[in-house]
Amino acid sequence: MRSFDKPLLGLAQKKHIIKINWCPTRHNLLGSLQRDSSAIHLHDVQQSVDEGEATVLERSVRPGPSNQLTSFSWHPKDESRLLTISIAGMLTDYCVVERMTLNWSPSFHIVWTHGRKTLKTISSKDKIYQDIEDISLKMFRRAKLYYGLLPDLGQNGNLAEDESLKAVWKMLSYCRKLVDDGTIPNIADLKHPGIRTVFGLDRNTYMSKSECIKTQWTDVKSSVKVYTSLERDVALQLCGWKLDSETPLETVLEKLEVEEEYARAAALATFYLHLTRAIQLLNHGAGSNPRLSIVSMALAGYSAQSSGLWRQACMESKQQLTDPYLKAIFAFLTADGDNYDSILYEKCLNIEDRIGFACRFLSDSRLIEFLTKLTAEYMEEGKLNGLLLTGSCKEALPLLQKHLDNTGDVQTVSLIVVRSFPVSLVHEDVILQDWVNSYRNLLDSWRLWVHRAKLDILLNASKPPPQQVFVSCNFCKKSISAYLQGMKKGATGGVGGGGNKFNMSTAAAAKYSTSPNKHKITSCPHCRKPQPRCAVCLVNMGTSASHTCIPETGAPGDTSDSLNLLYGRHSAARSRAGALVHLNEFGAWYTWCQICRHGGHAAHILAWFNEHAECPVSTCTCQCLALDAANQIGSIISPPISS
Amino acid sequence: MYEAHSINAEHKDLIHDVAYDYYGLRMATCSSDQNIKVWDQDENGKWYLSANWKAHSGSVWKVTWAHPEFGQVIATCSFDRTAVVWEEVGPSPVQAEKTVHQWIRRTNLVDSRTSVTDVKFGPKSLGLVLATCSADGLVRIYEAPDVMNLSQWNLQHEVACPTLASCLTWNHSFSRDVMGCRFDIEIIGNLEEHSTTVWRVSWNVTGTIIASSGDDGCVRLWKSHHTNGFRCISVLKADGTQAKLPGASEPQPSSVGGSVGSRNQTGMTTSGGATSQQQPLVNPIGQSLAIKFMKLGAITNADQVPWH
Repeated sequence: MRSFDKPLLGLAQKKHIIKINWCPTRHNLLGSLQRDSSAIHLHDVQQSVDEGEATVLERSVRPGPSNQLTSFSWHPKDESRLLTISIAGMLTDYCVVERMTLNWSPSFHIVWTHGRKTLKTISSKDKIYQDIEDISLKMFRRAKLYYGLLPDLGQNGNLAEDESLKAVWKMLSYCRKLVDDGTIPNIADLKHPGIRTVFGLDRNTYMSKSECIKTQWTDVKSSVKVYTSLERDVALQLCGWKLDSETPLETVLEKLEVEEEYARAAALATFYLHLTRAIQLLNHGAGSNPRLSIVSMALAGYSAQSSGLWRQACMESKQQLTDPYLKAIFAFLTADGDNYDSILYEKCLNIEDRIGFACRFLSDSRLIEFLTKLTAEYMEEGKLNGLLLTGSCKEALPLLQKHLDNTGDVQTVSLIVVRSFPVSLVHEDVILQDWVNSYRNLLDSWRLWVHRAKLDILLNASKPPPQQVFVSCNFCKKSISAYLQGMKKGATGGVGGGGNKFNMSTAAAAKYSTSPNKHKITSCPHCRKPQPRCAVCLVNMGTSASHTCIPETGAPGDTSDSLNLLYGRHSAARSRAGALVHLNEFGAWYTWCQICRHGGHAAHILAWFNEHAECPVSTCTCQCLALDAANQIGSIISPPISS
Repeated sequence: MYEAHSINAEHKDLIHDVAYDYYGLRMATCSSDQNIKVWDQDENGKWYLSANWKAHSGSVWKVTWAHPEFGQVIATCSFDRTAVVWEEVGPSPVQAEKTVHQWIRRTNLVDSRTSVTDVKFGPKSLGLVLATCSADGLVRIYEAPDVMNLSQWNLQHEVACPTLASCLTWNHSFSRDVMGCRFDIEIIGNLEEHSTTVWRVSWNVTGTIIASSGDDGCVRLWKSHHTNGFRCISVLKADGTQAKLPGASEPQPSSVGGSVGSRNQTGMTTSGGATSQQQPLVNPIGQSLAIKFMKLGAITNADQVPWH
């Protein structure tokens, strides 16, 4: 029997309490009701095991709209259910919701607690999850398909399942092709120059003055001012608007026709002053869109001295057109002098066409003004097509940042950076590093390690990371890897290793490549101590594994079998060459058991374990073969074919 | 009508926290019944219990996983004024049929004089560090100097906060290299749809969607919008059925639902600090040699309702 001389716990309340009641279904939960209150206070008493003062977590719940409760009662069995009565006599049945915790996993699970003992989860397989269009799930799907890692830039867009991203990758691929071909000159060492780089807008180098030529329509007696200059040519090239003997207008139009982009083709033909061709194109397209034939009819009415009536009719019917290219055609024909604003600032046109048009028909000062405005427009909206303007350089960062803020698509942004930006920038810029590292971290947490590794390879193509594993001498601890790699850098390396045990500075995997000019290093060149001996042939390591390693047992058929086991599928070629297999680099590699640390030439060790399970060193009873997981799989070890 | 999948957690009392590991393949739960449970996923994605043990002598408030680089390590904190680091030592050989994994107590952090309310491992770029906060408002940061030895943790910093601390989080986007980069804390969205207390919030992996749970028994999903605002995109009732989206115009003056996110100027997508209720942000700032922890800002809500 406990006798208390003071209360265990005191709970001070502001108002007079009219009812208290322990919750029968939960430990240490006390409910209390104060006078003139609409809320029931819940006191969750936390009693520690030792003597310490108990603490209380308080919560209040409002069971109903009524503002004056007179009493309440817990349900004896149902979890946290209570009944309240108000001064107006209204009964309310209320269930106190337990505190819920929740979490969101990187593999697209959401879990939360329901009641006291149940967890509820939803995962990416559930429709409800798909409905919220989580960008991370989309990124995961794309990542699995090697999005952004395919060698051809343009193909990556196909994996995105997003038209605008597809266009961006296509644009990058096209631009890269032009630079690689030398079709456009190398500007500022950028792999992907933009229109602004071409005109030198970001470097404050003024572009050369353009020549203005009054160009005749091919079929209408009228002329239009067309501007040309060297820079404009390059810019048109980038927009895919450049025409020369190799790609005459006709090829471009035919290509568009095949893609059934009749309106765009007609617009291009018009901008290149071929009205008849434009009409013809529209008529071709009339099969799929009958409206086009009516438009073509209207076009046919155009002449230089078109009556005011035609002009007015065009203006009016333009309002009803929805296709931005058809609108552009009429805007061009009815343009007032050289005011082309309704074409230039038509956001539905492709960015290439807007820039291409501007490069052809705008004077120098207005072109610069337009490009500045256009850049601002794309920056503000964070549309990645804007890369055509900025090029892949520092100036594109705000654009990418905006896109990232809008979509959360750190994947596309990182991949574009890795694939198209100058390497030096990627390695120096903290923000870019952040993006790429967040994406790498995402890939890691999705366990897409192969994909991450491929990304790392792209990232470090110019600067491979340093060697991670070295062979060092057991006595003087000097590295011998440098020697083994052919002493390319004239490094001071020691060969060797002594005693009988193998020791590597990091015993993870021997990253060890032999040089074409094989050095015979049987002892450490630094301290002259011998390298360990191969446990099978008893020759010091550093010599090439002699071909006698292949046991010439039985008939050629047997040899072939054992070789099959040894070398996997490459063995067929080998066995035909006879039992005397030529040396290969792999044969001389250091191989050792991670447990007993005995080893030798890879070829010899393989041959030994083809017939034995136990270590080749006498008195060592290590079951090396049983430890080898690759042994069970078989063909993991497939050395390069030696010729 | 949509139903969520159920897992019978078999805890004997209220579950306080559920945490996923780095890959989202394992889950740990902790409860007032003083136990911790670890759940694994089988090939079909079904969760099964892989370990269960009595961890503390009081309610276990929070559980958190370390980066897998450090092994299978979790930390828990409890009302019993301790935080504990646990490591898995592989399945016990006795029960070969149903593998039950063993977890060993590696260290017991007993510095706090009051209930330890939250515990979190730091980003792995800082090494193996652990932050705890306790009901008296002290944030402690521990470091394991040797990642191979989980039983040695040194108390590195003790930061006092003016209010009682109920939860904390690390900022992952702060790297050591960023110097002197101030953290701007702005309320990027005030989500007022739970008409009552919000208990927990959680980001998706890219920081574009927030899930929140509140006293009204619903889980709500909020998606960030172009204009930096957040919009409620889904409401899930606690029992796993989907509730209808309430009309947009439903002003709730009593709401304390506030999600405060913080973005640094780089606009990282992996959002730094998700905060619920009140939460002091502890930001590591790289300085030439020693890392100093500075409080850059505190976030307070008008009506603070601590979980604990």
